[in-house]
Amino acid sequence: MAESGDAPVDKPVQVKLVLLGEAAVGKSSVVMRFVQNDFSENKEPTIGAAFLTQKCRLEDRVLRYEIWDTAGQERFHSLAPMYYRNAQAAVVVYDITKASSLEKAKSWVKELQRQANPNIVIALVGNKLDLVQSPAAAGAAPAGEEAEDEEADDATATPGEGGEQPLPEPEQEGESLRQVPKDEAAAYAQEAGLLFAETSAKTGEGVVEVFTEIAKKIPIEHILASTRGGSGSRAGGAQARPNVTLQEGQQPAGGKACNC
Amino acid sequence: MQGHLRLKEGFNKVHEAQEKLDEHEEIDWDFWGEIMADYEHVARTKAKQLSEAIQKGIPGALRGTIWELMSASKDMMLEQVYAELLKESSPHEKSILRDLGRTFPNHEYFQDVQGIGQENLFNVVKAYSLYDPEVGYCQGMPFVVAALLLNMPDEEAFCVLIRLMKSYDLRGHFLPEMPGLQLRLYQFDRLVEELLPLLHQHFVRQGVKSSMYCSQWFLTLFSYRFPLDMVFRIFDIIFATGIEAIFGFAIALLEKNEDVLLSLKFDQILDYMKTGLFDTYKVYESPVSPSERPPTRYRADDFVQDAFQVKVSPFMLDTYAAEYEELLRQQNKHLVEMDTLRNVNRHLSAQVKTLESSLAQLNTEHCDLVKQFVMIKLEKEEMESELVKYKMLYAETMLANEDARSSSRISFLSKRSR
Ligand SMILES: Nc1nc2c(ncn2[C@@H]2O[C@H](COP(=O)(O)OP(=O)(O)OP(=O)(O)O)[C@@H](O)[C@H]2O)c(=O)[nH]1
Ligand SMILES: [Mg+2]
Repeated sequence: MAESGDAPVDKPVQVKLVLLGEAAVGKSSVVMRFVQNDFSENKEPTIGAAFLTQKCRLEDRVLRYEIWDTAGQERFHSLAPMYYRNAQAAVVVYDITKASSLEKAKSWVKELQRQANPNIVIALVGNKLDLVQSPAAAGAAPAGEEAEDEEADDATATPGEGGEQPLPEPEQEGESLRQVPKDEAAAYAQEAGLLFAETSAKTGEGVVEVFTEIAKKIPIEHILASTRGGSGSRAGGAQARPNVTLQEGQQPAGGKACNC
Repeated sequence: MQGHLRLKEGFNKVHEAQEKLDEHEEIDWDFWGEIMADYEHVARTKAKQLSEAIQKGIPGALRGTIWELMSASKDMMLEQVYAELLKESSPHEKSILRDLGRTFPNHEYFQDVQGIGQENLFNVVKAYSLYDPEVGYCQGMPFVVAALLLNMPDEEAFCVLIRLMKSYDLRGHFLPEMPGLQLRLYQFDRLVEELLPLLHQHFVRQGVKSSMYCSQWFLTLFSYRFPLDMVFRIFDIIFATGIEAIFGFAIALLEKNEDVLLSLKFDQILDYMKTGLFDTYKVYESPVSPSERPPTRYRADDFVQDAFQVKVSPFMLDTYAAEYEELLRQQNKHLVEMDTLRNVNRHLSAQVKTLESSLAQLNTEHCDLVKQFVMIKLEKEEMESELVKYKMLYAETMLANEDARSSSRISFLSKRSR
């Protein structure tokens, strides 16, 4: 704590974040859940882009996300570089009930890795999780292959998320709507070096966690140093990013991690 | 003929109802009747009066018809085309359907998934995507169509949409790459710089770009989230004077809010653009009873007047357009230059690579030769030493030979002397 003298706790670190992904996958809804803890069934398409901010408390640090929520339709693609050019983080969203949206997400990731800030932290987010969890759809879930998939999902999910989701999940998923298997997307994310999560903007599941996980991976010292023209960087500051400490301090109730 | 009667009937009904409602807002119903009867004639002979009447706002019930008259959109052939297109299916159907419930989601007319509002919206947008495949479907377009549909039946909305796209030059907003929008954003930037220099400077310092807030104004002709009474008034003026009217309204909004905007920071500015701009036109009525809040009303007349006060001349717009063209040309030239340089670079790289590989080859060849040379040298040395050996052997043999010969001579001589 003593060293935080020149990294004031009260002055939040600004983190520029951009949301990308196919139209109607739920980018604006995810942001609205994060910023206002709210959801609306019929959301207007984003025309151009929308800007929002939200603070996120992490241990002794406060981040302030400056979020650009972009339009999903291909026609607006040419405007996107302006929004991701200086971004330190990106959330690339797809819709788990729409296979094509993952392909679009992959192409965004590729573009980011080629064109954006080389240190950018990217999270791949499969949204609309509630649609494959509805009890009504559970009856329609076919057995056999699908059941195996579910087991695989559990196996991959346990180590990473075990601490954060103390509630036993109703794994009676209505998998019939699902078009993107969780393990397939997770494997891709791992391979491409991305954070990964499935969320529901509707129920709020997993949304805040995405932003806290990103916050943990952001090289804060780096940003501080660069925004202050280098004067703020202490010896070894860049390496001192206390990744491990943050993990230890992780709160079991994910919803509390961000101070909304 | 029937349509005409229907119009007349509707006109009379509205006339009576309205007269009771707006006693204070003198609407010249006789004049509007004249306009409805023969728009062309009125436009030719009483242009000034007409434009004043439109500035005061077209009466709601006549609005759709007047829009059609102003844009000269009535076209039976086109309505037939529309009817035909309804039977076809469009490659954009999925995208259009996806956005149906997301257009004016808070407006009663468009809320019902099975309702006539969404059905008409789908039909017009889908038909247009077939009619103009180069544009196809673009987000933002349904908002314009929805504003039309709130004032006229779908086949007429289709015809007006086509007028808007072509004659009013809205089409460039929706083409891939949106060239028309880019141009108008540039013109708008320059207008802000010219007319509101303080605000321009403030925006530059704060990093606010017009594309961040203005794209959605222009793409939806302000219908995205602004109060509908205001939106319709904007449409009135666009139909009457042309698409350039959007500049007047956009500048007026900034000008009216300039003091507030000057005091705000980047994120506050963008937030205010979404939510606060129209506050200055709000009518604050004291509630009749605490439980019953009257619907928010806006001083739309003032808004229109303010927009008309903005001095945007065709000359300015043309100048800025020329600047933009030049900018694009420069950019293109730059791109071409970059491209040629890149090509040259690639060529040189390839050359370097071949040279490198031939150098490598030469090197290995050289190595081989050196090796060979060394080997030969070694061989030569070996041979030389062998030669020396032979030479010595020869010498020895010679010596031995000589010895043998001399000893035999001696024995011969001694034999003879005996
Ligand atoms: N069931 C369900 N619906 C969702 C979820 N997230 C978003 N939606 C719905 O999906 C539609 C699109 O959501 P948006 O948030 O506007 O999507 P977007 O990605 O911002 O779309 P564009 O702005 O057009 O690119 C809306 O009707 C939302 O209500 C979710 O988690 N579950
Ligand atoms: Mg959106």
